[in-house]
Amino acid sequence: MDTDQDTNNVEKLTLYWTESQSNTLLFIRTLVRDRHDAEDVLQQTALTIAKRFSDFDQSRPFLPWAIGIARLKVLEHYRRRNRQVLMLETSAIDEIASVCAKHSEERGPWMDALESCLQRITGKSRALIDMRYAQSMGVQKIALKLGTTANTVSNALSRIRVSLRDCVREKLASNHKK
Amino acid sequence: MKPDPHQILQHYLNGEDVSESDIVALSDWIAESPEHAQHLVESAAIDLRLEEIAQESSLRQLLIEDGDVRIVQSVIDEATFRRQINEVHETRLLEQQVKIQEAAKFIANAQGPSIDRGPRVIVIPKTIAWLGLAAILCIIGTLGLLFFSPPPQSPTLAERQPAVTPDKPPAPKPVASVLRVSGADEGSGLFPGTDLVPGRYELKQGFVEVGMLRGASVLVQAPCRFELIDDNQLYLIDGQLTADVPAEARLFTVQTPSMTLVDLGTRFGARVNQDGSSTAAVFRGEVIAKQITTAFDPSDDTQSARVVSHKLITGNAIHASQQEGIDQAPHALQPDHDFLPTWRDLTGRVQITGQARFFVQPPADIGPNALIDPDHMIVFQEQTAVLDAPIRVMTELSNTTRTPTHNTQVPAGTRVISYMLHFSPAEFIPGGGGQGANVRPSSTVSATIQFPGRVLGLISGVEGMAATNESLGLDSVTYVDPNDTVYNCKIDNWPGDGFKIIGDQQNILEIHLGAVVHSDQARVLVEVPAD
Repeated sequence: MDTDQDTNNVEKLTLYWTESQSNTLLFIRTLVRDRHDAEDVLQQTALTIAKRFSDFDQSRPFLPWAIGIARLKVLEHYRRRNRQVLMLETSAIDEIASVCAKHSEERGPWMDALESCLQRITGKSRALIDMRYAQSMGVQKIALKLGTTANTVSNALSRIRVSLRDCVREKLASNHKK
Repeated sequence: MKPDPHQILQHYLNGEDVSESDIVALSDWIAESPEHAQHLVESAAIDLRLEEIAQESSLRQLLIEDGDVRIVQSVIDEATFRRQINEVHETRLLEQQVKIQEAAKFIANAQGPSIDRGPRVIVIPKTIAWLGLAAILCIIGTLGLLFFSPPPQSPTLAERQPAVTPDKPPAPKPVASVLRVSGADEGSGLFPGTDLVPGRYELKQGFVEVGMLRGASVLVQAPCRFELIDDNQLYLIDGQLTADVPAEARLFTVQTPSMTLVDLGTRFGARVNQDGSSTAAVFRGEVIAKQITTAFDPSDDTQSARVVSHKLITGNAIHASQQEGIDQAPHALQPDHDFLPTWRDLTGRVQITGQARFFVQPPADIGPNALIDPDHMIVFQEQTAVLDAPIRVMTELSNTTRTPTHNTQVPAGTRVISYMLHFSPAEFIPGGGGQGANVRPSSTVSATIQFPGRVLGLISGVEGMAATNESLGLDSVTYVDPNDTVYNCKIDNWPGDGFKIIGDQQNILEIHLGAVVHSDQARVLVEVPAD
């Protein structure tokens, strides 16, 4: 193998992957809800991408190709789990893949906006976020802890998520205008 | 009533149980319009970011650690924190890039026996590094590269803002547990069955086998200090360990002060010396050994990493130190390498129930008055050997006459692991009376021992034992002297003796050893299991 070419490919792969991994992970996490399982799928995806990089047509965008491989790995994951987890239908998976392949937001501003929006959330809502995300508690467990129903917790989390999403959109739009 | 897709979506995102019909309804809704898919992806993105922020909180805690004492210093200012956290991210970015490069290299050299890559300098423009920083947050915890896990009392999202936190933070989650202990000091706090959370541990005596939650078994040999980082990664501060890593724990990582070892499905050993230098040896499979040094060049605003990595394959060893770097190429593992005790134990691991104790470290002497224990027989692994001549063994013992009923030969060329069973219930008193010269209390012990391969048979009797000591025994152990009257070394007509080889794979030995006047010893030959 041509060593220079090899080195060049390795460096290209490094850059492509650095730019694409966050969207690839987002695609996987949208479909594989367990964080550890999702990490495993991401790992498998990264290895396959490295393995098959010589097949990649570098005149085309890398992200859709990476998402395509991640899609196969997600399906493999579902097959391995043998229906222990329910799988979205492939038409839905394809639609999500299509969104993630285009989704190219800059993570920095997004994170900053979310951080800023989080400041607005206080009291019980913040405690809920803390339990769900920082302490990785399930809805049932949170409900038990707060002495309420799972449904109430689920609705509350959903409301917080929607309000955060709206807030982030608003902030990004306002930054864009500036 | 038609299920509400928004309601299902909410349950789905919250990780709640969703029925099959709901999943179908949700799938239909997503497929209906790209906007629906966008809605789901955005919501999932918020989830992901919130988790990342939670992890960032853990990093904050990490940056203000002071040795073993984890203290929250409220005086740390935000700018300092940001700068420090970005430095951590940059290091991770470099690590990630190295990993990708390594993966690509392996693929390019998949058929090669051993790879010496030599040093490589990766130069990453700061702008790209910054773009990648946030991306790296995303994969914190993946690929076994998470340096740090949430420490105890990690500040949570709620703690970053004055807010209501209903309860104190939960206890840290265990990432491993103690599987076995042999001669360990009580002060280590490492007892069989103990759950281990991320943190630092010290073993002053003996051996401890730690089962990582992801599946790797790590046999730690004293004196040793190590820190568990997460369920598939640890930091070896000093001392020695041997790891057995199943496929599901691939990429198990051992960091040392002078190199990082990433498993690719293998069994390997790592040792850190007092001066911080380290040695790694691969007994089976493959390991990446890499040393990364980073430097910032202010003249062109670039961060560079000098990476030297080697792929070690079975029988390779490598040495690294901070001062002299890592060896230019792996070298052959010496047959008498220092990892032998732990390696033997991991490869020849037995599971025992009943009155037997497994010695990881073979005793120096199993002669008269050694290893006296009225309640247990002692089991230890001798060696793996290829028989150069047939060996006569017994595989059955008559229940009535207590005599061997089936003798057979294990043919030359067979690869075996030999184990020694030794039972010595009391001190031998010369001239004490009884049968001839000795008086000892009678005692019988029973145990079930599951070996890693098929039990081919037992060797017993002074002559049989003496004849096989040289080929199957250990040079470091003093064995029975054929002229010594203390032993009968027989599984024989004493009513307490008996054994059965059972199990679908014929790998379980049920054995009873009784002794009055003489101690009992037997050698068990086990077929080397296929990889």
